[in-house]
Amino acid sequence: MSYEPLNAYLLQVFLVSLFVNVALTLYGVFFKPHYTKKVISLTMLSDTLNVFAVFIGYRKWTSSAHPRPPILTEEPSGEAVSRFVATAVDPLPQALVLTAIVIGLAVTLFLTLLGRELYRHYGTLDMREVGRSAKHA
Amino acid sequence: MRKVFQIAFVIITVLALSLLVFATSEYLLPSGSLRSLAAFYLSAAPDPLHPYTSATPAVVGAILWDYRGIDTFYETVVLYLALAAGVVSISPLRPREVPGRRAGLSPMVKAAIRVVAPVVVAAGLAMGLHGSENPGGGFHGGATIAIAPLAVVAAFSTTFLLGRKVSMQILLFLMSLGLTGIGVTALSTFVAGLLAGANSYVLQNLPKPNAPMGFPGKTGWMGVDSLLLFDVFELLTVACGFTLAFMELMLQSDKGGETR
Repeated sequence: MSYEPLNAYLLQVFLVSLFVNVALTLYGVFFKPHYTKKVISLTMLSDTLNVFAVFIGYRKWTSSAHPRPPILTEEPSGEAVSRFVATAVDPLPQALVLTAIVIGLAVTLFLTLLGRELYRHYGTLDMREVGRSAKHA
Repeated sequence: MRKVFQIAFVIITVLALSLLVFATSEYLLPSGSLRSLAAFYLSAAPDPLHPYTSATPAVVGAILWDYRGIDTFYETVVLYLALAAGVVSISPLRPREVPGRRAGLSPMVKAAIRVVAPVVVAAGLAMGLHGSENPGGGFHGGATIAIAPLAVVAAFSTTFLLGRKVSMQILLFLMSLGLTGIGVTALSTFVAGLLAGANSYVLQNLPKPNAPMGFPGKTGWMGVDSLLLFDVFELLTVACGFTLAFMELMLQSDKGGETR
């Protein structure tokens, strides 16, 4: 059985869903007035871009070649390593995404604490009201 | 008018992204071949005979703590600084009173948490300690372990852990210990090389062709390399850091304590 048509269809669905997700999260960051919704949108945007980064490192799945995760599951002989290199996906985007997740977590933590201080100072997390209060101050 | 502009923004963004990916599909869409750097990592990391081997089957782990270790070190520093800044920037709290037996959720939930929490800690430890050879690692293990105190705090009370002498200071100390361990491990081969008069590098794991200093790596049934040590210290930093953040945020949110 040939996987190509199904794979091409799934690839389109995947890419379109990623693009829509990026657009909606950018909409949330720019146009949603509530601070918490902006932070949630930013987190979802970073997760979407991380998924896209991992996707860039993938290999094409065909009827003859089935990509594997970048972990060697047999004794590391010369032949096994050659087979591994011929089938494993690119490990570098996965490593960089792991770093990005941790940095994203640190940023989210900082933004959460910042939101808490904003609420303490202005009594609201509605950025329109915060902007108005900051102007009059 | 504003609504129309917002809908137009979403549509234009989707179209622009699809056009961008279509124009650069040669680089962004999966192909049958690998980039040369990826081929190097995949062939060098698991092969014990390769001159630049990491002697580990988990290539992502090897990239994180060996080939691109300095990135991961700074990543841990950023996480540490964010947590430390959070702790010092918000008002420190202490428990108003020692919680009684009736505080928290129902006895059934508490009994379930008593069973589940040790299992979560064990799973996190396994994930962290085997991270240099399997999927997982210090960050994954530490984040998993931090779920246990979060569940305990949710089931018993926000002040339960503080009443058991798990203080912010102890957690911050353990976090600092983890980060110091990462720094010492990163510098150890370099300092050993300086003392021995041999060429060596910061964050060097195993001996390299032009740098003979390094950790012993896999010797018999047990292996000691920098990846294992980094994972252990990262696990300590992340587990204590997340616990600290959860406790501080939950204490602040339900006013379970009073300002010192």
